[in-house]
Amino acid sequence: MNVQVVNLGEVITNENESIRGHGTFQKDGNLVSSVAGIVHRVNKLVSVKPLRSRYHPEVGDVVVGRITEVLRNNWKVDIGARHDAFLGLSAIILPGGVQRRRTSTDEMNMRNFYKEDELISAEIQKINYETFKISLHTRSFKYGKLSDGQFVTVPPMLIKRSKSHYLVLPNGVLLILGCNGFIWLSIPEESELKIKKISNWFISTTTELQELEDEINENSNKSIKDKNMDLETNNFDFYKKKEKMITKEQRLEICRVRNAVLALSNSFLPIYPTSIMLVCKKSIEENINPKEMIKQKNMIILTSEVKELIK
Amino acid sequence: MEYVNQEGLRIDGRRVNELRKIQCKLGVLKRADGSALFEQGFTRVLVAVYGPREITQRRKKLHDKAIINVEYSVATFSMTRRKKTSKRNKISQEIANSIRKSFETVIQLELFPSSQIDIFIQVLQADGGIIPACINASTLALIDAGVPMTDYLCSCSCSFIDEENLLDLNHLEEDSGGAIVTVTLLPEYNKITLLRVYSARIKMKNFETILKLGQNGCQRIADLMKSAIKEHTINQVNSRGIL
Repeated sequence: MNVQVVNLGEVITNENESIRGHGTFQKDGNLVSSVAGIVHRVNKLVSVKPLRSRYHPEVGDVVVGRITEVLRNNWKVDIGARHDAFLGLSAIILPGGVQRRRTSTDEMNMRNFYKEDELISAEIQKINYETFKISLHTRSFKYGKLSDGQFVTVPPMLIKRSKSHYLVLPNGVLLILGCNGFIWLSIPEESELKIKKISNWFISTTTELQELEDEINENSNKSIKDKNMDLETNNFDFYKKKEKMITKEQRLEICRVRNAVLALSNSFLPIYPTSIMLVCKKSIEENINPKEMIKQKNMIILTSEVKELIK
Repeated sequence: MEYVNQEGLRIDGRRVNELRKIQCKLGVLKRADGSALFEQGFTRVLVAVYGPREITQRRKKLHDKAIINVEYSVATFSMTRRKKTSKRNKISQEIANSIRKSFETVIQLELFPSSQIDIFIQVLQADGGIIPACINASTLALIDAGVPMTDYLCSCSCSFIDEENLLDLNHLEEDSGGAIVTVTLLPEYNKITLLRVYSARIKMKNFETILKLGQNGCQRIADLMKSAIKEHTINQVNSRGIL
């Protein structure tokens, strides 16, 4: 691999030939790096990316966040970026599904929608680069309050932006991959989901991989439709915390997926459904309990196939 | 007590202008954005850096730059006698303030308006040269966190004891009653950002030579830190699946 690793203060190039990007500054006519990292060149634009950094938000990203404050007509959400994001009152789905103007009664009832310390999934609507205000919205049925599940944090660079971040894996686990590195694992609403036993997965050929991914998309779409039905029934039911009956086997599967995510993050491998499923499948083949999946030597075994796939 | 004996060796066997053994470990705390464990002889300092992130103290918010928040605390087991020092007492606050001012000169704060960068310093073992070790460790932690800076910030202590200029004092030499000079330097620009003289007075004719010795020591520490960072970066690049 041809990468140029630079240290802080190291001269990258002569300034005349290149435009300076992030992580660089001018000094004595030279382009000098201001972080320790890897040089990226796009034509004349030279920038240095540090190995570790916070989440850099972009419009359209699906994120998982935690409500930190309830303000007058919006909520403040911590998404692990340089600033907290705002979720406006006009950016959420009102009960009844009706599109109407937000009144002062709605402002009084804000805590019935989202309270402090609750987890939500949302999409970044817009970013104002002058005031650094990040605006979120939850105007779809796949976004909203998250309850009865497990929360995991990984470095944000491991999650690539893809078509869908709301996924139902074949072993019945609901996975929301936030682009900010916050991941939510839960059980989807019950319906006719095709839940396959992990031992029945065949992921060797690319056609089988494609079939599995199609299945995931199908299951995810079904789950989203189920949420829609909820909305039209009662006021605020959509926002109430539902106590789901989660069986022991389902909890075991959630733990397995969570430890798979941690194993991938430990080896700094990309996290997406195929890589997670490969790790889960390997853990069944090698008879490793979810509890033991996070041991150092087991993590190396589990992620070996994924490393091969990446190369 | 004899601090430099006839053969020119100090209490711990070093020469007059020798630095103690330096070890740097980066990324020791998984939850922090950046962290570093720095050892200079028996002095050990752990620093965690968070940021840039949302401001917690609204009153201090600056619309065009980030603010730096430094918290300096010494562990009760770090000295030769168990001693509880509060984070809020005047000495800790003064040290934290001077460290903050030094870093304001190197970190590119204009890139992060309305944000805050937190530096939490914890002294684990105190064997002389604590503040220089804190500054060196903080530099490493900031680099680990990916905070853009214009230069390294390196620091070193020196003194004039027994008619000799000593570099990098341990705590016995610091307690000797001689003046202690702490120099903090920007190695690329060769500029001093923080200079402290305390414990006693120092003659002007000795001051210049001591200062030069201190700057020299800082440059050598800078070289050691640069090679440690380079090694750490290359290891990370090699061990990662993709970037």
